[in-house]
Amino acid sequence: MSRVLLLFAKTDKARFIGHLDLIRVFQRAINRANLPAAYSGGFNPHQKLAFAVPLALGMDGRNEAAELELTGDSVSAADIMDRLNAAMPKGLLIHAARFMEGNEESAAALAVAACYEMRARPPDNLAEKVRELIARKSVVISKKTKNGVMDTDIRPDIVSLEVFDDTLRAVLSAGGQRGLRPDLLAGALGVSICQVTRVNVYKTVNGVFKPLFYTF
Amino acid sequence: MILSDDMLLRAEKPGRYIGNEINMAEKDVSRISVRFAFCFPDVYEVGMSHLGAQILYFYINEREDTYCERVYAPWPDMEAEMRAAGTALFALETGDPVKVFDFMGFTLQYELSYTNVVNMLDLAGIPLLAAERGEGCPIVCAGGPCVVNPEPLADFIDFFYIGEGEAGLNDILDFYAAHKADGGGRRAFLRRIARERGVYVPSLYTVTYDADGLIESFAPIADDIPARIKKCYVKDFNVSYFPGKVLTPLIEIVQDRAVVEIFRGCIHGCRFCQAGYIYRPVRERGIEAIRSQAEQILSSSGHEEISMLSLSASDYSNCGGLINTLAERLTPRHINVSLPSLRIDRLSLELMSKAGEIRRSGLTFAPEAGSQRMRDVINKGITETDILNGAKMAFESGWSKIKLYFMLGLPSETDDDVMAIPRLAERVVGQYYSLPKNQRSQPLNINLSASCFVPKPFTPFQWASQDVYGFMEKQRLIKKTLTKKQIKFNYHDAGQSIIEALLARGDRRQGRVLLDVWRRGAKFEGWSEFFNYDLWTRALENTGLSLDFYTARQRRYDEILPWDHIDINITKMFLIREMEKAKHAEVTPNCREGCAGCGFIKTDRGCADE
Ligand code: SF4
Repeated sequence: MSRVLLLFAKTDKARFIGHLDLIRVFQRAINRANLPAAYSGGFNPHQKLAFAVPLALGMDGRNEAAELELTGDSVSAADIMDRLNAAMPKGLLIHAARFMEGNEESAAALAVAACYEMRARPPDNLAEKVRELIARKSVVISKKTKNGVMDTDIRPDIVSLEVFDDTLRAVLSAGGQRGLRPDLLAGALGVSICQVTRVNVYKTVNGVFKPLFYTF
Repeated sequence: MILSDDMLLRAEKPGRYIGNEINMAEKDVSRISVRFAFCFPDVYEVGMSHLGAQILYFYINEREDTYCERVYAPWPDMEAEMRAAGTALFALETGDPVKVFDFMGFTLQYELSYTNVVNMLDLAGIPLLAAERGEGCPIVCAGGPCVVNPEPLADFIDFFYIGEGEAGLNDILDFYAAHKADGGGRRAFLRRIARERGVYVPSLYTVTYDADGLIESFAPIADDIPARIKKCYVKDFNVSYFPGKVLTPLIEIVQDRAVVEIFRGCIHGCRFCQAGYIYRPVRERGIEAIRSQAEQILSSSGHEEISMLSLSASDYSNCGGLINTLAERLTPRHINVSLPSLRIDRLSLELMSKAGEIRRSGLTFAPEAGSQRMRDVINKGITETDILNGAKMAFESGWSKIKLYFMLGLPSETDDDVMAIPRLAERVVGQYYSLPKNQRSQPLNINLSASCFVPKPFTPFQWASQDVYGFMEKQRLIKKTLTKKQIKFNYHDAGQSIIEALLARGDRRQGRVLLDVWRRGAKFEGWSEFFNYDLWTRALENTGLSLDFYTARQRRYDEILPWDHIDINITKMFLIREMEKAKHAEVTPNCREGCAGCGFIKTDRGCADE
């Protein structure tokens, strides 16, 4: 058994593939690439494939991570990448692949935050709105959860927020523990957004954010 | 992309409109001389699930001079977006508007999709009526099982192709390519191909009606146009065209698996079943060809499930051998082999467990009728003992979810026949409780479904009256009789079946109704949430046509039927013989047991038309 971590981009038409569909698209690419995928046991065996943090439909993702289990390590990481790329639809591109350490935590467990870029429209007073929001100690919004609509303070989920012309760059909490979607942030700001890109997904190493994929 | 991001993100499922599937054909349009828009008049997930459409897509794209692209009916949310933005219907591959294509080819799989055909022509910005189209307009053609009665759409379609596309569509495209290179116009082209086998150009035929509204005459306008149009079909199923790949979607579709057709046609002659007649003769594919096709499709698609397509899998001559061969190769690769349309008996249950069929999914029995008399009338060669034994064996092997399919309103059906439906379902429940308690771990779940019978062309029941006034009462009767809580009764709105019947046996005058009902907003009529019976009653009223004339009316044998000029090689004499036997509840042996003389010629190597 070996675990492979894939770093991939989801852009262009592939943006319109939702998360559940993306799992199927990956599974089929793995089959077409003829990789020795490991299967779970049980009644309805499925490939052991997991994505770090699901990407919302319509969003570009530049540095997304997925983890795949193989039954051996006969194929090199570079080969895995090339074979998968040959089997992927346009808009999905693996840029890096590496084998994971035996005791390495799963990418999904490590992910804590993500960086997003998006365009605001109309961009009127954007900088001011951002300044005002950052200055607040708490930003309470009503959020739909499993247990109905709840008031939630999202201020702790906003790690940083910057403005360049009409573009917002936000680092928000993301992953298993807690997460803030860019559209909810936009709602709190009172702007509408488009062309949302998730630039990177982070883990914390010694208290500092590092890109999820790399071991340094 | 032709649709803006905003339009796509507002849509319920943007993945329907982006194309980009695995194995999608990509060609340099500047080097293409014939552009073919293959139109499926239903939503993406339905159209993409259709094997025949996939085969034709690759078949046409084998041609270097032709680029076949796909068009599906946009779901009403996206249609509204497109109309508001002034975006014309476009093809998924290039995003180019359908208007610039040479052909717009519809596949007609069910009658209730006809309003979508009209709507798609409109969305494309093409004149709806064939008579109003000029040079520079795509040639609109149609094929598929429904075109055995092309008449209801005759006003809208430039030519119909009768039969199996892979048997002769290339010849038509060859004619077109040469004709276009010579600078020939559309009328001359249609006139030329009207002589080809399988081609029906409705504008070259005239029809007159008598005082009662019956067809008085139907004839070609010139001597060189054939009076009857013979269907095209593939003679040898082992060498016929097979693409070896499939378009693998990026979003979930209705039939999300690989499919191989194991044989075409059916040896039975169930008298209500149009497929059983129009796909004759039976043509089998050998195990070796099936295995090789299965492996090609699986490796090019990456699917984890493969389904064996046929009208009745149990009739494959070596079903056991086929499943053994496939299971041996595919099970180690975590690939499921599914066998729909099996007759439920010991053999098939064994096969299913070998193929790794999942028990949770439930088993389907299709007795079609409740009483033995009724099953003999429709020539469904199974007995109550077969059904009850099958159910018992299924329960013993661990199944506990069973679907039972019936039809209501079959010719000569009495209340006793109707009451036999719930009775049979309750006997199936009885089989379950006859098992020792320790074998009944799962709760029993019987899904009884009764559809409304629709008489179809080219069946022995093509002359029969539809039971339009009896459906509701019969549904009520079943509901009233059912007492067991393990049985869930499902029935459908009879309105959809009545309109299906109207269109199935309609004539050219239906064109006016279709136009009228489309103007009133009818579309996606096969979807119960969009179907609107009132629109049809109003359209019929407005056009002065009687619904009963087309549905409830019993036809006479000597009447000219609207589809009499279509020759699928099944003789009228044979259908009359079968109808007469039905009246006496007399069964006809299947084609393996004996030849009933349907019009084909039986030989040692199968049946043929010459
Ligand atoms: S020719 Fe005879 S055996 Fe062949 S399909 Fe017709 S009835 Fe069946």
